[in-house]
Amino acid sequence: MKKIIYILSILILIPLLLCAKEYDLTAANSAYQEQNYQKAEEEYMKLVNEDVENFELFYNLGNTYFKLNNLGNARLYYEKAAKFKPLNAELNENIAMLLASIKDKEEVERSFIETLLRKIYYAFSINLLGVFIVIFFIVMMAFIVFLIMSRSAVFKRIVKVFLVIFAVIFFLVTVIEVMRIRDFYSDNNAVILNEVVIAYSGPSEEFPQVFTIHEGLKVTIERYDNDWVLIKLPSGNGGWILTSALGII
Amino acid sequence: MIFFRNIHSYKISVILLVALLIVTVEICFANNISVTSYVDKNTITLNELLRLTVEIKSDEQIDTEPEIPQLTGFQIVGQSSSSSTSIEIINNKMSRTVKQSFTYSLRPLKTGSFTIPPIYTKFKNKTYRSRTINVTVVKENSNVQQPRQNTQKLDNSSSNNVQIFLQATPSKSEVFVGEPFTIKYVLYSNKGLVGLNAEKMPEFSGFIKEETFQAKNITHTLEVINGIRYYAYRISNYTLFPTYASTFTLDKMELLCAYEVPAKSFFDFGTTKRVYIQSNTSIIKVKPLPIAGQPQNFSGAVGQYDIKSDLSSKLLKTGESVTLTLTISGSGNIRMFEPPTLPVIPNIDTFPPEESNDLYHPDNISGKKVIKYILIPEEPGTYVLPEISFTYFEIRSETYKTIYTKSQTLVVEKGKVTPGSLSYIRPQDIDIQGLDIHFIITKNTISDYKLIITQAWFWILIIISLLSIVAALIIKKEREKLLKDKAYYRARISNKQLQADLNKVHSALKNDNISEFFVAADNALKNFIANKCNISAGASTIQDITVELNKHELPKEFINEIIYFFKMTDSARFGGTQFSHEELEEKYKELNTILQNLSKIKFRKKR
Repeated sequence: MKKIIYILSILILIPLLLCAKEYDLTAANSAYQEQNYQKAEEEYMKLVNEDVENFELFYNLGNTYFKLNNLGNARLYYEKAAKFKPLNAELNENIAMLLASIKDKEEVERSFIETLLRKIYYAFSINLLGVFIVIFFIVMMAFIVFLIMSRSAVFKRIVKVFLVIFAVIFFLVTVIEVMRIRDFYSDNNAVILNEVVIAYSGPSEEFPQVFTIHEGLKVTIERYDNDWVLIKLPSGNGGWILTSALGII
Repeated sequence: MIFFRNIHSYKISVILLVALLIVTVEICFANNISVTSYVDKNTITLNELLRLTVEIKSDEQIDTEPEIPQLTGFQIVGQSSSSSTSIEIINNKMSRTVKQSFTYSLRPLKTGSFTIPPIYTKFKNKTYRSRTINVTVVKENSNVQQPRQNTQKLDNSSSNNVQIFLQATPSKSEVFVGEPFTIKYVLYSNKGLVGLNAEKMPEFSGFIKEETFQAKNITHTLEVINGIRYYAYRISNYTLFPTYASTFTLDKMELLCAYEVPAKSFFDFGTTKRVYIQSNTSIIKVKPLPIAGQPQNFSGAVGQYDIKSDLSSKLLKTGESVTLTLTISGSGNIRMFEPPTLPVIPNIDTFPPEESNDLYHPDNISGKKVIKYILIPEEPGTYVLPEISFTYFEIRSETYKTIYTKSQTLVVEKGKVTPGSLSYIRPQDIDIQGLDIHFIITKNTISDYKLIITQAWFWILIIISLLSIVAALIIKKEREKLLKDKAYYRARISNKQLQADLNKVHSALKNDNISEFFVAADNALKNFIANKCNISAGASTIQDITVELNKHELPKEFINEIIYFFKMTDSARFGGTQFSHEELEEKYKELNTILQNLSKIKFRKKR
């Protein structure tokens, strides 16, 4: 028994030891504090180019772009940060501020139920949900082991009830986790980076123009065709634009 | 029957009464109403006015008004009404006539023949109508009286020398947007006038107008123009503020003047002649304010100004108020511009300013604008009231000029707050001075984000917990086996017990305790065999063991060896034979060999 506990604790400690490389933001943060936003952008971008993904990094970079009045990139990095913490209050307030500055009106109206579901859906981070899944799984297995081993009929009955409850919670948490991970890895959302973008009804400039959008707008990617991409506006309108005008969240 | 008769007479009286009422009503409303309409001229020129008179004659004073239909080709420019009552007695019968006349001044809009449709008058649900009138409007030509720009001569032979003209005199002919100027209307006449009627007053579209003078009664001064003496009648003065840049032709003022033609003879009582005149045309060019160099805070003030500020008190206590008076004096569109905004001073509460304009008559162009700001300092301290800037367009130099007040210092001491005087302090909205995005997160070390599910330990934990079920199942199966099979259990635990027994043997050997050594050795072997064969160790004798071992078909020599060992231990225990340490060690080895050989043999119980 002692051996099992020993092994388990080692297994839990391994990730902590693996808790990889740390990156330094001091230079970038102090440049921002000194309001040297150009330098701050360069410093933050160094890490982004190293494929570092981190909420603070993206949030700070979004702020930097906002200060540089580069609303497209500001939106892009805010949205990237939102993938990690969708309900972060400061982030959402900054996005609201940014939405007031961009040219295309983007109304997000949510009903009470939608807000509630959103709150439940995003209540915990993906990783916390993962921890929950492990814990619930272990507890469930422990219950099953108990059911196998125990000879007391009364205890077995109680444990069975708990097992059902845990199984339901486990199922819900797992469903949310799977959806969240799918969202996290999805590259269907993008932000317009060019100041003015004209959308055509087909993947070429020879097609009729369908609409004009401006930097900072969030759109959904439908499909690609060479250098062109079919995007969908929040209103449902679709149009083809050049892929280079987009930043994928 | 009497009853019936009564009812009958009652009916008759009711009928009579109703009949009487009807007659009375008819008498009462037997009004003789007639409506007639006529015009003063049937042929007019374009710049004449047509007077349309509608007369309503009736027996009594009635309250009604003719309904003027839409008149094609004419525009109603004026309206007046009068009423008169005349009483006639013919053959001792008195008849009263009330005559109401409504006079409309109509301006022809184009030439041609027009028909003034019948004019209807409604009274007591009855409609009365007048006849139609035909009017011809012709162009001005020599046959018809021709008005000239300034002077209107009358074709009256007896007054050929009558000269009346209306002079409009603007103070400037070229102005900037917002720059005020005056325009004066003076009527010159070489005859004394007895009546004046404004037919059309100028509208001045494109300007904000202020009437600074309007003649209330006919008074005149004498003026000599070109050697001719004129009566000069001041009609009205306006101050105009242009609102946008363009070239404007100002509206003409139109007047109807009446003068007396003196009596030619004793029996001639003289007549009153009326003449219609228009003012001269004035053209005003309004220039736009230059856009280049226009400051952000330009208030729209145009002219020449001076600014000064005054603080009612320089030392006060919190909760008290102080008035900052800003005086902008000079000439220009004083009434038209917005007062300068007071810069926000933290912790000083301000109220919307009180603004008053004090303009000097008669033209309202110069004067001062007094703006009073009430300041209530909320916290004690020394406040520097910043300079207040005011930007205006200076006409003289045609540039924008910004003038400043001097900055002032205000010392605020802490006022005494007595418990009763707390009523002033009220919760108020927090003063929000600006919005910005939230600051960055100043976390200087970050790590790359990793999804937990991509980590090995996540899956290891899952697999371990899954394996625990497998383990549990195995354990359970084993336990079930044990429950069913005591022998198996014993066999499993025999090694453990053997270890303990051998330890005892070994310690006895170390201590050279001979009797204990043989007791332990005997026990060890007995327990081992008992466990292996699932028999009770305590109760088994050498005989029992021999039988048991034979059951398992062990080689005879081996059984004999075991039996010999048991016999040897028995004799050693009870025989009191002395053994040397070396001999004991030899016995211990012997025991170990037997045990080793025994453990190699499978003691499966045959069922």
